[in-house]
Amino acid sequence: MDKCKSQRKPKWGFGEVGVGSKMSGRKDDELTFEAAFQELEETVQRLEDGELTLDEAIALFERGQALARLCDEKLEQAELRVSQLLPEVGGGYRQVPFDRDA
Amino acid sequence: MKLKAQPAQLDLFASSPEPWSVTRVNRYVKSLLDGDYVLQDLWVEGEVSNLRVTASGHAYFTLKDAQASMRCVMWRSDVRRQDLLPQDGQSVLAHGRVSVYEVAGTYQFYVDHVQLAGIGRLYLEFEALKRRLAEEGLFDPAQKRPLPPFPRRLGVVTSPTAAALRDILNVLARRYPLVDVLLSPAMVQGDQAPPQIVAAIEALNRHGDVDVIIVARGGGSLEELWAFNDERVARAIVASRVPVISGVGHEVDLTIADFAADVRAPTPSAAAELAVPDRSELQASVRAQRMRLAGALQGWLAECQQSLHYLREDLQRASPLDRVQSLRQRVDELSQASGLQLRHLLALHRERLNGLIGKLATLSPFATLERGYAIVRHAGTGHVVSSVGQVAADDPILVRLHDGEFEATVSQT
Repeated sequence: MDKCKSQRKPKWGFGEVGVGSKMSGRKDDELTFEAAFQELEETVQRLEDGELTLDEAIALFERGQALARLCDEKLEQAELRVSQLLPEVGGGYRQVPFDRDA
Repeated sequence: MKLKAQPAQLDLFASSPEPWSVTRVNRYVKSLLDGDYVLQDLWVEGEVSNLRVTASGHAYFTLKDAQASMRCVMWRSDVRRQDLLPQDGQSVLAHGRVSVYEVAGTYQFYVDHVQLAGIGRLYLEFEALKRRLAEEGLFDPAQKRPLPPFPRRLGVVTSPTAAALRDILNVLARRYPLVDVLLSPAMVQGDQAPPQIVAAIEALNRHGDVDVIIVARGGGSLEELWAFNDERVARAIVASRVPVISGVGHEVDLTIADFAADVRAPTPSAAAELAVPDRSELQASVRAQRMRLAGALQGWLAECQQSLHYLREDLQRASPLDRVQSLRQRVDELSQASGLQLRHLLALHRERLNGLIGKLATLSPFATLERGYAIVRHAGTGHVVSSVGQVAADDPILVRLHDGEFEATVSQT
């Protein structure tokens, strides 16, 4: 199987593969853990499937690294955020922080 | 003795000179009873006997205690609302109103609701309610919703001060602290609990923006857990758009809320474990993905190198230089071969020449001359005299011998 596509013309930049935020349509800092984890799996899969140009392969590799780093950062978050629903006068609720140690 | 007239009798005669009909009496008594607010809304405890349900669907029975008994009727519509009808000998609490059956002049207790009294009551009612809701399809597995694998926000319905909440938060903090938790507080015991639990679930659905809900309560007796056997709570759980995990009581406790929930957990801590993935497993997974990334890139590079190698080989094979070299070699070979052949030919010719020379030598007339023969020639013409007739007397002739020549004259023929 010939994974390495031969090129007639060198391609430069990320435009071809559409990696990066263009693919998910969201800024990276808005990515949920689930979305980042999912995209990481897809990126790895595409790199494994082959049929890539040099630039595509490098772009996918770097995107995968970035996503893995993002996932790790989110998982390393130490503090559990807890809040509470409080009913308001006149219906409706608001959310206030809940003190676990109280 | 003088007969003292009774004032009541005198009054009676005074206000109503005519005797009453039985119908009138019965009606009067009925109106008296119907007007008494105590008798119109009464709970009675007693033992059931002589229960019979007629073809029309109405139930007739007697309630009794140690000293007295009372006739009871329950209309079909009320009978049908019962989860179960008590049996003879069972101790019950009956609610209804006392009135008069005018036709027979008897008073009866018209029962609209009856339930078992005593300790077994709760359990049997629980079983009956569970059966009814199951038949209604409330617990249908096909209706159960799947849990989101990576919840962003998680709602908890429980008491803010209870140990159940602490346990849940501890599990979440350890396993998956990146989830946001929203507490929707409610009492979890007592009469106020069911409506509060219902409101708490609805609040999370409407205002909470949560991906999953845990309804939780620590361990307790059947009575203490009773709020989670309430029909309203079960319906609120089923109606929730957001998937609900129930974590009520200890491992062995099964409440109706557990049947209604999308997933049942044996304890509040277990509910938290089911709600979120384990962070350390996810971290290992990300590590594995990193390795796959590196491996895939390496594999890709190796494949490219391999392709390059094959291409190079192909190029080599197609190269004109190669052709030139091979032709050159052919020329060498050919010239070597032809050189050999030439020499061989020359040798052959030389041999032949030598042979011919030798032969020539033996055939040479000069060899004959050495044997003593002479060649005679006319001196004038130089022609060779090969016959006597070719000379006359006095002709000058040349005589050649092997070692020279002399002149002579023919003296006579």
